[in-house]
Amino acid sequence: MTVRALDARRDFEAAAGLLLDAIDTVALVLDPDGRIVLANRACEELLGTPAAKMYGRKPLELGFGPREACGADATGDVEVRDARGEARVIAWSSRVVFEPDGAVRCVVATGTDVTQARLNEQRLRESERRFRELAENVNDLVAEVTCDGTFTYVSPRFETVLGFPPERYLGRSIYEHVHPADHDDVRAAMTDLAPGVARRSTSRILRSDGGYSALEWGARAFAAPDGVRLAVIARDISERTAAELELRRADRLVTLGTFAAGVAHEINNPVAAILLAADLALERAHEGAPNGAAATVLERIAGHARRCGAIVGSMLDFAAQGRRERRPCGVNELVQQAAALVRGYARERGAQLRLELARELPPVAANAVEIEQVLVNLLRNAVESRHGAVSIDVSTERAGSAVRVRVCDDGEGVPETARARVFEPFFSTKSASGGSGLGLAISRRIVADHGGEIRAEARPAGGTCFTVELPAAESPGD
Amino acid sequence: MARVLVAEDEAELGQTLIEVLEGAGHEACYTTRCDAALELARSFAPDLVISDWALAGPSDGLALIESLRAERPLVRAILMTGYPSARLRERAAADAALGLLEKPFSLAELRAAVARALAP
Repeated sequence: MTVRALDARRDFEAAAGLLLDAIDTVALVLDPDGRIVLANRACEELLGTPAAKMYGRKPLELGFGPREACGADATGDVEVRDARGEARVIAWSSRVVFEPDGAVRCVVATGTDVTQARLNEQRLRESERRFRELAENVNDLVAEVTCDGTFTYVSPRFETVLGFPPERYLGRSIYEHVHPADHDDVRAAMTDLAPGVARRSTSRILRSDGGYSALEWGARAFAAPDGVRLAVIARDISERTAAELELRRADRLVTLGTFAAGVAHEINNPVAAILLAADLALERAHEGAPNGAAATVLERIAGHARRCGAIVGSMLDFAAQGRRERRPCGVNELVQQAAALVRGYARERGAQLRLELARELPPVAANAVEIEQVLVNLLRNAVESRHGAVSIDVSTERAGSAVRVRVCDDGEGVPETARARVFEPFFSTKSASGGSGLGLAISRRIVADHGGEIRAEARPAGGTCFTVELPAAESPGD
Repeated sequence: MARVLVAEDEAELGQTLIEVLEGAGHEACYTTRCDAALELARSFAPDLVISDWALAGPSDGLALIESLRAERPLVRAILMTGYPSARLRERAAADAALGLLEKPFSLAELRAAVARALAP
């Protein structure tokens, strides 16, 4: 070996020693027996022990553990107490260095203090777990969407409420799930988003059975690595609570009460016919009239009695708690039944009811009692739209894939400022005359549940026009 | 015997009324509409009109009776109703020439009301 080479080697060893002490990574070299022959500055500082005191000892004796993690050729986290006696986590990696003849020369071990990183990871996992537990156990629906409307997270509650499994939503657009009529509304809510911006609205969202549920939602934008995202919390407002059901029933009872006069008239008419005819039949029987004469009268009595039963039956249906099942119904029939309930009341108040029903309307999938309740509410409002004789025009027609019912009156009309609010609960322009302020709110909820729409417009000639649109039932072949 | 005009929108009740009245020897005619009743009264010249309060057509039984009286001051009247309001009861009590029959009524009540209305 030349002097120059010797110097070069000495320089190299000095440089290696400097480098070894300069780095923050713990470095150890062990002999084939696993005893420390070299420890760097980082190791001295970690353990608070001079390197000289480590030589000849094994890492286990210095407090590194567990045994299997700090052997030769191992990678993983090991623990050790530092100079202050605090537990530190070291990401450990050891490698065996062999002689050219295959004998073990030494073991080189390096370790990085990852105590803080591991703590952070644990906190992150904990926070993630907390978020998931919250998102997955609240009754509300929780979702995350990108600002272009792609679902990136959907809580399991979606499946309970809407029927689709959460996986179905991921990577898909919210617009595939929002009712087409609500797209503009949602699109407006998705514009000009900046972190912290909050939006809220109500949208109809597709269910797995093909119907729509009205979801009331609130969203807040936040900054994500790939741009702005929205955290959305939604609640199914079409899922009725017991209180809401009770409220609807109360509305029907109030409605029925309003019509007591009309209903009494409806029932007392056939009852009057029955009583008079029965008396007549009795009298003829006493006089010894032929059986045939009495039989004619008795048939009449039976017919009237059946009519009474039908009237009482339809009243009970109407007053009963809403049965939720929906069946294909003819809108014209529903309009006629509602008109029959209101006719007596209308007559008493001097209102004229005209029906103009379109032929060959497609059926709608509806709960007949509920839609009748909506129509009765609209008819009653029309009757009460002015003191004195009101003309009410009720018409049905096909409107694209929907069936439209219009109830128009020539009453006093609703001021423009109030028109937007007539569907709000407890808003009534008739509070002085005993309006509950619930009829139209309940009507709107019922119509929304059916995937339909209800709106109020002023008539140019005075009065108000209410329009209800219900989606036509799809025929089984569609 | 008297001439009686019946206005009742419940057709079968009207028919039974006619049978009872004709059985009692009166001459009776019948309509379901108030506007037709006024028309009919001009040719039929009734002594008594028995009208339901709720009628088909632009007005009600009470208005019909008022109009008939305007043309025939001596006509007697009975108003039938399925749901008499307090106002209607007061009105009938104050009007000696107006009888009130609350539905449902028996044959005997009908005959008594007719007899009272036609009494001199």
